[in-house]
Amino acid sequence: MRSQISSLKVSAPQFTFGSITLAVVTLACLYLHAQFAATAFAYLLVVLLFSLMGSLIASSALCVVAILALAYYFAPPAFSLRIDDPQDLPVVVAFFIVSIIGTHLIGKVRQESQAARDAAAKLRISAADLEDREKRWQAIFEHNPAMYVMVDEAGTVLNTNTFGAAQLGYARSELIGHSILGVFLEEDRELARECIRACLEDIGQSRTWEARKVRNDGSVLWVRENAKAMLWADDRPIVLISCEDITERKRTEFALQRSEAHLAQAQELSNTGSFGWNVLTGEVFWSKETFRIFELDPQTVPSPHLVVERTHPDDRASVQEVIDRAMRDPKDFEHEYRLLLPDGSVKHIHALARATRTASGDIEFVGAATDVTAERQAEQKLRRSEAYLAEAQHLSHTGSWSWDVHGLDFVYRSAEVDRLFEFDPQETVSIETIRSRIHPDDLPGLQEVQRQAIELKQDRFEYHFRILLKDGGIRRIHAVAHIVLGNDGRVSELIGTHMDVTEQYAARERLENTLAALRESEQRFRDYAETASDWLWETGPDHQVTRLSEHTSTAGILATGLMGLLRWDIACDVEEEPEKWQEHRATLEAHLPFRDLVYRTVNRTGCPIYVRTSGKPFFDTNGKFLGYRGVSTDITAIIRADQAEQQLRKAQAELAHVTRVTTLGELTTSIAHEINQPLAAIISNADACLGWMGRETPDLSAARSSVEWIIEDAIRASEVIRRVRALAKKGAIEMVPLDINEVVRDVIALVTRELVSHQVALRTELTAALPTILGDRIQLQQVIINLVMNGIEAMDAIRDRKRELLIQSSMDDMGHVQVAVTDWGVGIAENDADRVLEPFFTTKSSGLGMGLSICRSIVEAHGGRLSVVRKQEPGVTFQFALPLHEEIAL
Amino acid sequence: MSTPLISVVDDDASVRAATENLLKSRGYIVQTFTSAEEFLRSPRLKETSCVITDVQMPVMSGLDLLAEMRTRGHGVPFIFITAFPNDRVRASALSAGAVGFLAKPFAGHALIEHLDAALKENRNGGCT
Repeated sequence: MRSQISSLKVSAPQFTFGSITLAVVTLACLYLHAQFAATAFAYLLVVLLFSLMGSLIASSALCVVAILALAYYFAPPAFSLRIDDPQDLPVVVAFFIVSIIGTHLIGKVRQESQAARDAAAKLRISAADLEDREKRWQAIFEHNPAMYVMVDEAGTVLNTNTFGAAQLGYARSELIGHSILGVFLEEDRELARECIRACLEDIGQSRTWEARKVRNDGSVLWVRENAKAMLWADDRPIVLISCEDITERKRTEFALQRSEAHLAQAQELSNTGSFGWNVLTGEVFWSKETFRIFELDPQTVPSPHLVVERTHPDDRASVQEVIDRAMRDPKDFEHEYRLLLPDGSVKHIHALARATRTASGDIEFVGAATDVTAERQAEQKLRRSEAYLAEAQHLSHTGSWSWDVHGLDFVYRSAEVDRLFEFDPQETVSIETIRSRIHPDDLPGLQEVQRQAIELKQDRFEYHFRILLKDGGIRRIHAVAHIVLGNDGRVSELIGTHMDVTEQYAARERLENTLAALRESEQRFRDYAETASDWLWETGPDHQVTRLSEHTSTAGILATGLMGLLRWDIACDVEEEPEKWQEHRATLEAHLPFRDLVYRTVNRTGCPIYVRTSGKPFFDTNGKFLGYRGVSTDITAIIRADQAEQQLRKAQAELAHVTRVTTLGELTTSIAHEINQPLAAIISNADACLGWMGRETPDLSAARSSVEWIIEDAIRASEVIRRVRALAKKGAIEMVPLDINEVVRDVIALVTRELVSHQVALRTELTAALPTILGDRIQLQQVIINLVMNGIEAMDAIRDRKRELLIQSSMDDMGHVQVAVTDWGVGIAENDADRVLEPFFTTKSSGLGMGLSICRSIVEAHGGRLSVVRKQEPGVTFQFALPLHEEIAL
Repeated sequence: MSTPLISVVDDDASVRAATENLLKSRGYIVQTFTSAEEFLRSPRLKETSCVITDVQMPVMSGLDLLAEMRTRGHGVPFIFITAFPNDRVRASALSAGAVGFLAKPFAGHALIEHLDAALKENRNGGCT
């Protein structure tokens, strides 16, 4: 463009001045009438002359103008552009060719000379420039606030700038010619050497490293070195190093690194991860801790979607909503949710984010996500333990409270306190309300205790009081409290518990009563124990005596020196009762408990004593048999009593027998009669039989009848004898089921004659089908005979009225079988009524007076009772009732 | 000579029957009574040639019966039999005019002997 403009600048004057010169030449030639060829020559000179001005275009234009002028003016026909003369045409062509070639050649020469001029001028300028530039570069090299060093292959400093040297506290001359490595910190020298070597290996490739250098004054400088090797003159490689002081940056970097490390550690320690979220770009940044909390690989690309994915299904909707809202309306947000981790565990996350605007104007959320699982679990535990506490308080009827001493109000009161006082949990409770609930008798005492506690700053105090219940009842409270000191050192609060002790109180009262009774009983038992003949013993695994309770020896019951003996060595009845001991030893060998083993031994004075002992084996925790423990009692007295009782019973039985025999003796006449009667009949019938047979015509029929009667009477006689023998028998008591009516009938058979001989009429009222009783037939017969005989005797003296004896059997009100024998005799004097059944009581001149007493013993031995009923009419009724035979009673 | 009527009084049925049997086997006519009272009420009281009675009976004893018969003017002979033979009873019986006194059990011929003696006496007495 520029060449065109410059060419235009040259062409215009060239063409203008050329045209003018051509016009002048034309005029001159016209004037001179110069020949066509001469004119052409003159034109050629003009064109060539002006071509010296340099423009080919202008020269070409002049050439065309010259040809036109030649054709117009000088070629016939004149003043026409036609050239008719064929001679002129080669002139014109030659003119054109010569002028173009000439112009071109002149132009060429001109260009070359111009170029040579230009080059010379440039050379001049560049030489000055170079000098100037060198000065400038030198200044830059010297004064650039960067260190420059040039080293050779060996690391020797070839050059350095003043700044660089000064930076290290040296003069340039102090460094040049020395190894560059000398200025590096010893630890970094190897690095520097290595880097320089690497540069040299790969010439032209620049390298950067950071290392420490030591200043002349010993201080350390962090530098960032940029180095590149190049070939110097004579192809010797050198290394150019520029150094930048990055001490400050390094320090900042370290500080940043440190604070980053601190932050990471703080995040880890606080279980808090941080995150950034650019809503617009969707870019999300998570800190390492965030990844750890979410248990995701730090390589994972985080996103809000990932958060939702990790969220517990129950919380996903709410998290999604928070994210959606944040995207719609970028405002700070805070939420809590749970994570469901791949291993099934759950984490509680508390996330807090702040909406910030980035430099580019985007909204970015920066926040923290804290793993609050531990807190939530603790809270849950706390809530649970609070629930437990409430439950425990409820169950134990214990309420806890805290009382503001100055504000006179509860700072805290547990639900149980409300229940105890019957407060509405919702309402605040005024001190008047509280006071109104407390028993008026207890209020002053309670207030005094609290006042003292506050005044004396008692750490702990207790008191009792009663609560008046709405239903009129009383609740007893035991309170335990302590004081809380405020900042001013004065008591600010009372903290305590109220325990409902109503039941305990009642229980204590009961207990106290029981205890009193127990103490009394204990004293009683102690008295017993001290006077008792019991003693405790222990035997070892070999059944030898290892221990005896102490009072045994002091009481003098046992012989001394029993320790180490076997029980059967102590006993004196082993030979008498081998079976008993055999059995006992078998029990011991089987380690079984035994009870009430009775044996005979001797006491300290050598008198025989009876001992009753019971024992139980004992074992160690492994079940190993250790021996027996038990208690023994001296039952000599009991045995004696027992023996006495046995003897008594024997005597009684004997007496009963004797009495029976005596009775039989008394009845002898009657009995003899009873036997004599059939005997008499037998003899008579026998004689009659003989008579019937001795007739002339023996009456065999009558004889047979006689013999039949004989047999009947013989049976009757033998029956009497049987009854008598039974009564006289001295046999063991036989308890068998009996029909009492049968017993009565047996008796009647024996006493009929006696009744007859005493002219006593017998009447019987025997109730049919009575249940059977269990008894000894003979003894019961004896009782009835006795009563009948007594009745007969009682009526002996009666002359003025009928002598009658009534025997009745019946069921009494108690369902017992009852037998009554009633006479209409002399009766019993009122004074004697109570004694009539006692032994040796008698109103008779003869007799021992044992009859009724034995009857009573017999009846009682049958579980029955013999009684006397005095009647309004003369006479007396003796009756006895017997329990039914159990099997039938059932 | 008509066969004499013998009255037997005894409260013991078997003894009564046996005595009757014995006497009948010897050819006597016998009527029996369970008590003295029944005998006294008997329409054939006067026809009786001999009374054989037990001493011990309820209500009225044999001795009482003898006394009553004598009181009524009957001199009929009495033979007593008893299961409780004792001298007191025997003496009082004999003194009251009894022909015989037998202790149970008695031999048949002893009764017959006493009876024969009594009948002879009665016959004699009857004649006088």
